Amino acid sequence: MNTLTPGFATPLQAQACFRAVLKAMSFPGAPVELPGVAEPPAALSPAAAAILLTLADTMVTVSLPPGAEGADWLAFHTGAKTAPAADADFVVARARPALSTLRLGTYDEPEMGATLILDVPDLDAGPRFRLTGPGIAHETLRRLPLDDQFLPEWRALAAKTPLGVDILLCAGTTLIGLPRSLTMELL
Amino acid sequence: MAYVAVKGGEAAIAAAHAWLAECRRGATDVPALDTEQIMGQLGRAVDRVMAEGALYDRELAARAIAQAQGDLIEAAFLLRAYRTTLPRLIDSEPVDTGAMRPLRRVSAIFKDLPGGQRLGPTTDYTHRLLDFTEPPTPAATANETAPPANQASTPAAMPRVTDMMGAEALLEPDQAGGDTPGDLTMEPLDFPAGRDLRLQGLARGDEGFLLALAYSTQRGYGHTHPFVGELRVGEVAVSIAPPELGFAIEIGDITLTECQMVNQFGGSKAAPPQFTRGYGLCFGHQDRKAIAMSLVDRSLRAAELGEAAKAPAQNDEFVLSHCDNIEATGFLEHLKLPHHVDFQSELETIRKMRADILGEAS
Amino acid sequence: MKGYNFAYLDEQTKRMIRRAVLKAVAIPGHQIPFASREMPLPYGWGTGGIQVTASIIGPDDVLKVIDQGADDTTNAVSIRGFFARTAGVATTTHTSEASVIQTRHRIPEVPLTEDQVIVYQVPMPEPLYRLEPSRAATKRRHALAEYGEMHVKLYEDITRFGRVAVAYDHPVMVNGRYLMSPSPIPAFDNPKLDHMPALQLFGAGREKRIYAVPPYTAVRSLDFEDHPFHPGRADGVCALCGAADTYLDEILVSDQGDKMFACSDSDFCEQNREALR
Repeated sequence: MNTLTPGFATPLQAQACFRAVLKAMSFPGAPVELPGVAEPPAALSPAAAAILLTLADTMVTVSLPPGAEGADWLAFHTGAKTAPAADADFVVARARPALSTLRLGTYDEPEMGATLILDVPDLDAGPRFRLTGPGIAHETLRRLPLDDQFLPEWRALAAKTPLGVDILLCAGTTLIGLPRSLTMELL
Repeated sequence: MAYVAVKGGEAAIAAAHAWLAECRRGATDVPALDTEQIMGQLGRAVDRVMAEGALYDRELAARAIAQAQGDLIEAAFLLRAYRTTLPRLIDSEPVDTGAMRPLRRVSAIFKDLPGGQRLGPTTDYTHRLLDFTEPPTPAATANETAPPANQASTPAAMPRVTDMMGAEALLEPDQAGGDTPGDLTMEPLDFPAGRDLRLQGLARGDEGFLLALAYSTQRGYGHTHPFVGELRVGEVAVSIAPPELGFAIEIGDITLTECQMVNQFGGSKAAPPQFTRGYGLCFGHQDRKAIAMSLVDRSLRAAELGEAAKAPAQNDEFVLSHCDNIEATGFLEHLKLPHHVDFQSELETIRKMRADILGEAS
Repeated sequence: MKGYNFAYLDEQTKRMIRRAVLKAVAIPGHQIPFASREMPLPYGWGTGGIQVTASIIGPDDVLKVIDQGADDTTNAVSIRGFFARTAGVATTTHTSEASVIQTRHRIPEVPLTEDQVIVYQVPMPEPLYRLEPSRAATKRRHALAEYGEMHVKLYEDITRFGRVAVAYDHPVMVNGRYLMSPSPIPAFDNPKLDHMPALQLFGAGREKRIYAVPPYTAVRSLDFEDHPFHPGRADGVCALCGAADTYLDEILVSDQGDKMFACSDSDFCEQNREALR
């Protein structure tokens, strides 16, 4: 017997969540609090669950971490179909996939590049970065929970701009946005 | 004179709307229009508004016509905007126009054919003499005896002319594929556009624009050598197959006009020539729209059929970007909106340019 | 408003637009196609801006709507009324009190902040459309960043008129990559786009495109080293508040063509007049 956890109670929650995601993408690197989903499925953080409820529906595909519960929850609440990570519009993961294996878009349609929703244990961890680019007045210096391989992969994608992947780092109910336009350097 | 910053836009709009309501009603000692009258007696207007409004509902279309004071593009806009608010429940099964029991069915390519030439309630052979009698008398020519008031006998199903021609393979096959067609309302058009999306655009396209484009092809701007294989008007059943049921059920009937155009044959020494096709389909009884649509459809297939595509009717981006009269009139009429900020910047630019030139000259 | 969803649009449409907006922010200046809906206002009258606003706005927002810089122009009144009816959202005429500003053809004189979003109504999102009417062709130009034609056109203006002849909708390069139409704002307003602290969203309903300039993004008006961009303005002073550095409306005050100038930004002018009292 499968008991699904609830989604949003009203559409206004989706609007509030969307504004938080928009703020995170508009001001990359700056943590944003999400009005999260009270009881997300086990596979997802409250932030990741809220983002899916806000943005996923029958018109998009999602790749989820393995486990039936997340897929049932997603299908029930959003109608979104699942797809392999290489093809999906939204890729939800705990273990970071290699960025080049995700959909990057085309020069005609760079917006087809995927959105990676990466659940991490803690946003205030990892190496220190200098962030510059759209959304940042001068520079932002902060830790980001990203592995050693990340920066070379990010740079490789930046060389193919405007193709790329846009990332939402989620921990609990907090979110950090890393749009593909962001320039990152290790400090 | 002291200038006061203008306020009062709100009051102006309210006053304009009140005046509009009065004009719409007209003289109050004259009976108000009834939607039943419009549905019943202005059926061609209702059909056009349903087609361009992209919503099949005779009563709503009639209501929109009354609200728009007879401005049919405005009425189609009302219907289209209403359509946006309706939830999308399910896509129907494809309608089977072959199963139609046509009240009207004519073919220009054969003198006679199974099912016969059935004129139906057509204006084709009327003499366009404005009728001043009250009530109006039925259109009649000198030697005609008055026909029965309506053809009460149920029309028989008639096989399509184009299907009947199929045996000799003189006509290219119907291209209905198995794939799910694209949906023009769910994704914006990209070019080159597939035939499914082109036909959807044409079905809701402005009758006048399509008429002019079709006419242009007949006059040599991308001539396609057309013959009306068949024009049929009648009711077809609409079915849906809800996933919970697992089978299809009929939910109602709609009246459609379908035109199968038989066009210039393609082929070469290697591939035996066949006639090619154009297709038109629209809501209600609209000969002109269906025929025009079939000519433009055929023209837009120029590239696919290896023909040089130089005429406007052969340019899919040109035709499909401009055939939606609601988009067109919106942008056209937006010119009435204030543009004084941009005009001011043009004034400054032109003044400076003139000062430079006239300053140099002196 | 009974029978309609909050801010009129259904949730599926809002999600579609929200997804497009997020990608637009990630790819500054790039036009993203979206399945624009018919709205109760005509195409060409701000439906793109309205759909973007309707998709982002919430009950806690305060909305300002301006047209030609003023809150009281007829279409601004109509649109503000639309949102008041369908979203019940608070509205204001004061720029500094607004969290969302929908605008046609002007940027407010007061600098905007990080807490604000400005939504532009765009008639023709394609900056190259006068040079190349086919969108299929211009799509390729953007994919390849081939913008030579526009530079040539501007340079031809210079050789013919001695100056760039584009008075409004002067094209800009965004984040060094995409050529963008800033919408038909006067050239005077172009400098405000560069490194603006607020998020800038652009909606074209009839043409079915959404694009964005994130906060603090480089936006450069096309020009040449020997002919730098010049944000023009009438040589005048506002007759109502005395401002000498705002964009001015020219108003005819007699049958003989006598004229006076007033600030196009009606709220800014009113605030100045209040301060002078």
